[in-house]
Amino acid sequence: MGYELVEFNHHNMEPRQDLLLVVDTSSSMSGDIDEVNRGLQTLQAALQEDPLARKCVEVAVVTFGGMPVVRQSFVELARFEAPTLSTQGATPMGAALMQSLDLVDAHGALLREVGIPRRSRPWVFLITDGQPTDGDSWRAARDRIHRAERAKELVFFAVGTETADFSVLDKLGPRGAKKLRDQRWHELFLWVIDSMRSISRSAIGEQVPLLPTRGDDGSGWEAV
Amino acid sequence: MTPAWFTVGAGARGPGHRLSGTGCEDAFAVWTHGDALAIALADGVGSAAYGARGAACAVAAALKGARTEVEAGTAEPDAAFAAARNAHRAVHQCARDRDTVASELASTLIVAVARGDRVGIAHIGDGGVVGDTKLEGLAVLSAPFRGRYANETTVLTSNQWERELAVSSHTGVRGLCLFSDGCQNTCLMLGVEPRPFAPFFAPLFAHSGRRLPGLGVELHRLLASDRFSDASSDDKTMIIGVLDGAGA
Repeated sequence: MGYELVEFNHHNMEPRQDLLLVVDTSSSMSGDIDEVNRGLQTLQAALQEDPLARKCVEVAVVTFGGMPVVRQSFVELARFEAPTLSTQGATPMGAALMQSLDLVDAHGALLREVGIPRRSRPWVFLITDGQPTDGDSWRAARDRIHRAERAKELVFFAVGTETADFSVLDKLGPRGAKKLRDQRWHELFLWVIDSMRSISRSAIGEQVPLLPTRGDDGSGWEAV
Repeated sequence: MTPAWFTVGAGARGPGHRLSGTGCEDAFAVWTHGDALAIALADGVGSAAYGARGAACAVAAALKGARTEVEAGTAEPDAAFAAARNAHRAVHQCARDRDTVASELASTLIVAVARGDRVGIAHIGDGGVVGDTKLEGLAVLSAPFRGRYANETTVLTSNQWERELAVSSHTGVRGLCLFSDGCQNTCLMLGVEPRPFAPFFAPLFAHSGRRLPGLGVELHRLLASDRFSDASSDDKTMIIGVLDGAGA
């Protein structure tokens, strides 16, 4: 009869790392969507097996094919079930980004309310093969992303396939866009997984450098 | 019966540091003399090159300063503040001795000074203090600093340390628990106003008050246990003080 009688507050109060995937599911993505779905499943399995990442990473998925849809609001990885995405319609990228930024803000407010800090800045990760079809709304999203990046409120990544409109993608975030090499979706998702693992293993206060996206030996997912 | 403080403390390396091969970056020190008590706890900042060294330096200097002030009859909150100032100066001196900047020895610091059931606390950064008090029962005596991100904390080496230091005074305290941030998720209910998680603290204070031999080993076993590791990847340190003969 000693300290083993101590009971814990079992609510998971581990500092969180948000990962928001903003996925283009317009008709033109039909050739890639199976690879994206496999990537989401790999991400779920790999991070759920990781004892640290499963407690700190929260994932959300927003799609834009015809209309923006929140397929998964932020959820702890332990309870994340990768959605199976299908393709349809046009590419309302601007509206999807605005909705994604709202989602990040709302999740931040919720975490503050219950007293859970963030481990580091939320990641917003855009994947597309095309260009926005919802007029100039991407410009408002661009301005909001740049403001949030300046305020160190998020980290934005844009990844496009060979067919994506990089004249838009490059402007969305301060670090430009990256081009996916040879449809290396699997490598791309492995990079996201390893990045989340690194962040969840980092010491509090440690700046975690971005992992390399391409190697001299032809490895990696980023096209030169 | 003259009241007297009894203490038990332990620290355990978190699973995050076990995986990365780094040591425990928390440090603590305790001094008791009859009804007088001083406890210092510091958590070395992970991003600082010598965070663990800074934490060790801070608690040694804080305890020395607290003891001097208590023996001089200084009021408890003033003694706690003076102890923190002593620690701030010592860490800056340590940085000069090592030919480095003080931020490389950054740590948080909590100092609790007691004379009987009167307690003064000086606190900068995360971690916290929960008390068992005559008036309120279990109460948060000093709450963790909370920034927007987990890596945002205030530190002893900061130039604004005096402004960021929270000094508080409490009476009717019959039990004290200082803890580092690796513990706070499991022992507090962290809302807008953090509150103690009673099923954690009630048995903790009750068992500590038995003054049994081997309590430190038992406390270490709790902090290093799988269920504590599951709750947080960070280092965990906890020091409990119980005032015997303080009355119910």
